[in-house]
Amino acid sequence: MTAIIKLENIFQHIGGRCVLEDISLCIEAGESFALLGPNGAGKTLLLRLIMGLDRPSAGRIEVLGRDLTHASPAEMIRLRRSVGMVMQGGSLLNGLSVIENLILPLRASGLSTDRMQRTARLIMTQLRLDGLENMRPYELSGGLSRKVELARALICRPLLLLWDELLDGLDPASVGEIKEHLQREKKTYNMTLIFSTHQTGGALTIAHRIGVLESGRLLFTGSQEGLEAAERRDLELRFALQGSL
Amino acid sequence: MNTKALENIGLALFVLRDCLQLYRNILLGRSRLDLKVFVDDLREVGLSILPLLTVVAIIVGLVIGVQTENVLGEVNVPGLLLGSIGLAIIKHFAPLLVGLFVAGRSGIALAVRIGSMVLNREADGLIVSGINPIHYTVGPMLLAMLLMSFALAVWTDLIVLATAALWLWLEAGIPWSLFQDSLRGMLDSGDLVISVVKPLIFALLIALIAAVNGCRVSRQVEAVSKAASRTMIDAIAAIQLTNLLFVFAFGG
Repeated sequence: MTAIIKLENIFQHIGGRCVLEDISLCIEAGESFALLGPNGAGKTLLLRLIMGLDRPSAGRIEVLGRDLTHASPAEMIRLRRSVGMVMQGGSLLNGLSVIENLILPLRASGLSTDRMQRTARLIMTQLRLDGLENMRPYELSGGLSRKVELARALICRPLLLLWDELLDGLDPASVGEIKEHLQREKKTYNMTLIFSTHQTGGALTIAHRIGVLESGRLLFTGSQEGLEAAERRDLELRFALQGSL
Repeated sequence: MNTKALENIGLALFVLRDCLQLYRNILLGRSRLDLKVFVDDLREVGLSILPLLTVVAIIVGLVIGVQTENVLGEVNVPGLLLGSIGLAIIKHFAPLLVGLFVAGRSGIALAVRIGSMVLNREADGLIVSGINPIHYTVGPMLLAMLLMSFALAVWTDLIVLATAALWLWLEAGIPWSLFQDSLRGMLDSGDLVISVVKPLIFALLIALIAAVNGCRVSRQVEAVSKAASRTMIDAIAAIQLTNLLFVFAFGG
């Protein structure tokens, strides 16, 4: 297996406060990795560092074999064409229609406008977004905006998809569709998925491995069964401690 | 010079480098200019201010015409007076007027656009889509500002001069040929170059100031309005300072 992401001793300080502390992590190609943690744990920040939107205060980040800490702006732009990201809170351009937003990542591909529009319409159909082509992002509901963001992130067939707060704001029917779509993309293109979530529910079912982040520290990495076992041990320990007290 | 000023200069140079990179890539056929955005920017920079700029240019022309008419009777060499006024219009008035209009309309619009994109995370959306936000926002706008500033400066020259000349012909019987001859006698090619280069430099400064202020917007809504007002104030200061430098360096 090839490591698609390598994080080595990542520290991030914001306003004198350490918000990420000594994070080291290795994620293989084709893997689904969930970052689980409460609000403010540093999940979004970690995803932003992997995307190269922020630079770490210390440590080394390698994405798709490229060292982000020493990559030039041009290299970063090229790299981002192989990485898709769905951001928390949305990042669609309100001045553009849905289809124009979807076409954005294809602009550098040299495809004709007609071809780009056909590609955008195809992914819209796959994600059941037909009929929204000419709407503006601010006219969409939260759930539809998330789906459009996902479509934009997937339109270039990325090797790596980063999703901040997976399945957040989506209705159960959309959750099913998206899970199915992601599994298909992963199988066909060996896409790696890294997502953050603060819920221990449905989203975790698609993860091969889970990383638990709390107060900027990575407390656990392993399978869902391993997490459950660790939680049980933690609970037993707490009971034992309470009993002894 | 404090650290913030140095940071702003660095950011402005970074923006300029990115824009030049975009134009080079367009010329080499490696990038495409977003025509839709560019046409919108041309409309915003040029056509949206053209009616008001024309009205103001007519008013300035009338004021100059009336003032000249009042003084003309006391001067023995009317040709010299007319030539000096024409020179002042072409070298100073028109570029300044255009600079102020472009700053007020396009400079503020650019700062607000970039600031809103930062605030609403649209800039992040562009980055994750593999698009340089400077190429997307400042690139087409700077080109539109340069083209339109040139065109608007020529237009303003013509309107102010024509209005002043028309007034003097109607009210003081000064023939257009006298106006023309005195202008021709006083203006040289260097003056014409200055009259064209000045608005271009103003446009460049306005775009860079707007980009820096827009990029510096924090995640607070009021930061966008602050960026807009700061852009106007900084742009006026930069225009006046550049004008002063031109006066010292080239006498105009």
